[in-house]
Amino acid sequence: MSDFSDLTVGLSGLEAQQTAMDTVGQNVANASTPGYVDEEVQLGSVGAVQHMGFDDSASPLPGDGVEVEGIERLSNQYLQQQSYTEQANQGTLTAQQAGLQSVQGNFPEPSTTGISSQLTQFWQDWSTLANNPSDEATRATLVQDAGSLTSSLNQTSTALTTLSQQTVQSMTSTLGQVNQDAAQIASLNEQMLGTSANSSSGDSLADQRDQLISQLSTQLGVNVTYNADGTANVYSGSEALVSGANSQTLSLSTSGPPYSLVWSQDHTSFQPSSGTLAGDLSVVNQYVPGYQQNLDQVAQSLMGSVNNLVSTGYDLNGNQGTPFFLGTGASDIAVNPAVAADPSLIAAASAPVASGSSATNEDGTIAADIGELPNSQTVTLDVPSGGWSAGASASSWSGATTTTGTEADTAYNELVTGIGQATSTVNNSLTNQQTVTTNVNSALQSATGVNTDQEMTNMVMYQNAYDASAKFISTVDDVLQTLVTMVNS
Amino acid sequence: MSDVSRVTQQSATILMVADLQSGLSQLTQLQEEAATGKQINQPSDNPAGTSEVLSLNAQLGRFQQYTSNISDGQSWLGTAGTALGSVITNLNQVQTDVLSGANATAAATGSNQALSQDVLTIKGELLSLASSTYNNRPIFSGTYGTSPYPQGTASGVSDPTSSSYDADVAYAYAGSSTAVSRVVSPGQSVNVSITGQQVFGSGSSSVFALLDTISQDLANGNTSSLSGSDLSQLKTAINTATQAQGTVGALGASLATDASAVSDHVAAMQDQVSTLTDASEDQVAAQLDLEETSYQAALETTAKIIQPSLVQFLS
Repeated sequence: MSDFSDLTVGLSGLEAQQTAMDTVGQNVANASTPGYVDEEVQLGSVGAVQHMGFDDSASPLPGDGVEVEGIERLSNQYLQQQSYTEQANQGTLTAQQAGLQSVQGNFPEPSTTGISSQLTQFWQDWSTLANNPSDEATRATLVQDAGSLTSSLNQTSTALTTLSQQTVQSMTSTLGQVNQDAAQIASLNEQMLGTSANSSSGDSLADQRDQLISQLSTQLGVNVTYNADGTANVYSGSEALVSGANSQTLSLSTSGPPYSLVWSQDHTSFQPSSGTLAGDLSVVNQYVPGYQQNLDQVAQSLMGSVNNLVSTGYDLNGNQGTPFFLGTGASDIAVNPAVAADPSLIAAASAPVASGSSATNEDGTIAADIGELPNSQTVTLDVPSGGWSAGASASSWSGATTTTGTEADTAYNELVTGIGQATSTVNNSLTNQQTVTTNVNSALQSATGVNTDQEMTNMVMYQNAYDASAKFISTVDDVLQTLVTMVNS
Repeated sequence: MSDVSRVTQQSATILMVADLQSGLSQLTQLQEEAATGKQINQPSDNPAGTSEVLSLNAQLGRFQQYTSNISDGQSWLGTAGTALGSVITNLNQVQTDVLSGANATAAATGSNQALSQDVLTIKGELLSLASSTYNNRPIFSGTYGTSPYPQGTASGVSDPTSSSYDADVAYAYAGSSTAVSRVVSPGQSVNVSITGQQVFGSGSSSVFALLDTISQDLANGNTSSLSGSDLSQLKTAINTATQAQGTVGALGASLATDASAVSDHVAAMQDQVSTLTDASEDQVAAQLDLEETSYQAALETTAKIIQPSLVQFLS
């Protein structure tokens, strides 16, 4: 031990405290950087070096100062994975909520303008026609109101189709983002292989990578495993999206519904269980097609039940009724153009006037019966194979099968209630999920984030230690000065 | 550093922002209720309530239709009742004429001529009553839109003195035998008319043919017929008309009962819809007040918590 080595000890103290303060600076500077993980300097004392040929036992040596053993990244892989999982769950629900709210937006109920009140008006028009079967204006009103009803059904059906297409488009762009993130994660993994663990550059690469995985997890539920070399593998389902420095891409199946994701490596298809992609897939595969089908049932019930009664009736000209509605479902239901052009073809009467009589037929039995249809929950439907095509005449009923089905108002009510129920459930689940995600993310932040109070305390501590080391050096300097002066004098 | 009680500025921020957001979203929901005055603004606000409101509204529409069907029916019956009243008055006049004609002496032939003419006038009166219309529809033609006893050259000769007179052709009933009906409550339809055939008969057995016969008998001084078959047939005709008037009155009374039942039902349903959909203003205002206060409190607290840090105290 020499006085000169005391200077080295002092210097090691200065350097170590300097590094520690630099770390505090880095932490404070990144206190609000997303994904930044708090770093802590690991200081270790340096033992005394045994000097060859000297007997050190007589005077014990205090050691050779301090060294920075490393800068530890305070990551928490358990909370990190939990955060990925919950973010993915929230992503699923967020996408489902967005989809369902768009669906619900197309069913403005209860209101005085929605399909439900249009249906009510439609039935009322038939009943009014029964009171005044030969009145041109009443017939024209019925045709007009029926036209608004069918065009509302057409529009709603189109809106659902459009919603499905938009969701598919949004999934395609989400997949672009996912693939880009995966490639970037692989490239960060690759860069990390070239840096040593516990170096600050390695830590910042890990921060960036974890932040990307976190971003990815909202869109696609992932499981992350860490390799000994510091790199991470990202799995979704049974396949690895990122494996070390390699990544593969996901794409959307070209046809659907049902749509699915397709892996680029083995071309297998895959239904993710969580993330916005999973939510969007459930919207295009289940919700929208389901509601579309229910809306078709409303239109088919309307066509089948009205046409069924009309087939037994007679128009103002004494001819057997022609179909009132034509079409196959909600997308193409329309008032028979022939009837729309000549409302006297509406079959309101149950029998023609006696042969030889020139009287107008004021019988409205069929119209009254049609007006009473919504009183029953199930009604008799005529279902021709291939729907009610243009040019269908009385004779084409012979090919129709007669069955019973849910009445249109009831079917529509069930549809709207179903949408409301699903939306309300997703809304509630999302509210709960948001609390869970917030808590997990907050817990993760608590464990790995920067606490500025703590950093300030550390800074004061390191500053004091730095001051002390400096004081030590100046004291050793004084001692050496004294010695040199003594020798010179 | 796995200290669970460790809190960082960012973790505190995450929780505070989430709390503020949930407060704000509750506030927005209440504001929507207050602005629209409706509890249910979209199906998801209350799916079960929406279902109930939709079916109630549909029922309301139908019952409002029943109300208008009933009032239409009442007008039909009212017109028929008035017409039948006049028919009875006229037939009673004929009865007076027949009785005075039957008791007249041969010297009174001149006055019998006047009575005969009077009966023909009354026949014309009855024909025009039979063609009474409501809303441009003949009320005694059943479901046919035509005059029940069309008069004119095409419909045969109705002058009993003419050689080509044929009561079967002149007074043939041209309406239908089906009465007009109105749907007045679910699945229940009620007749709101009575056919001309029921009131006036048809052809040679019609009341018009009878009046022609009476008119002829008066003119010819055929007192035995007058006091015999004419008088008894006339009494039967008056009886028929009176019975028809009774039927019409009873139908009208039953419609009035239906009308009050339907309007009670409509009121009850409207009440229920209002309970389900309308937001209680007082309640919403109070809740809004509460939410606003607690939201502001949360904001203030956040502002206080977020500020202090050791940094402020290090010089």
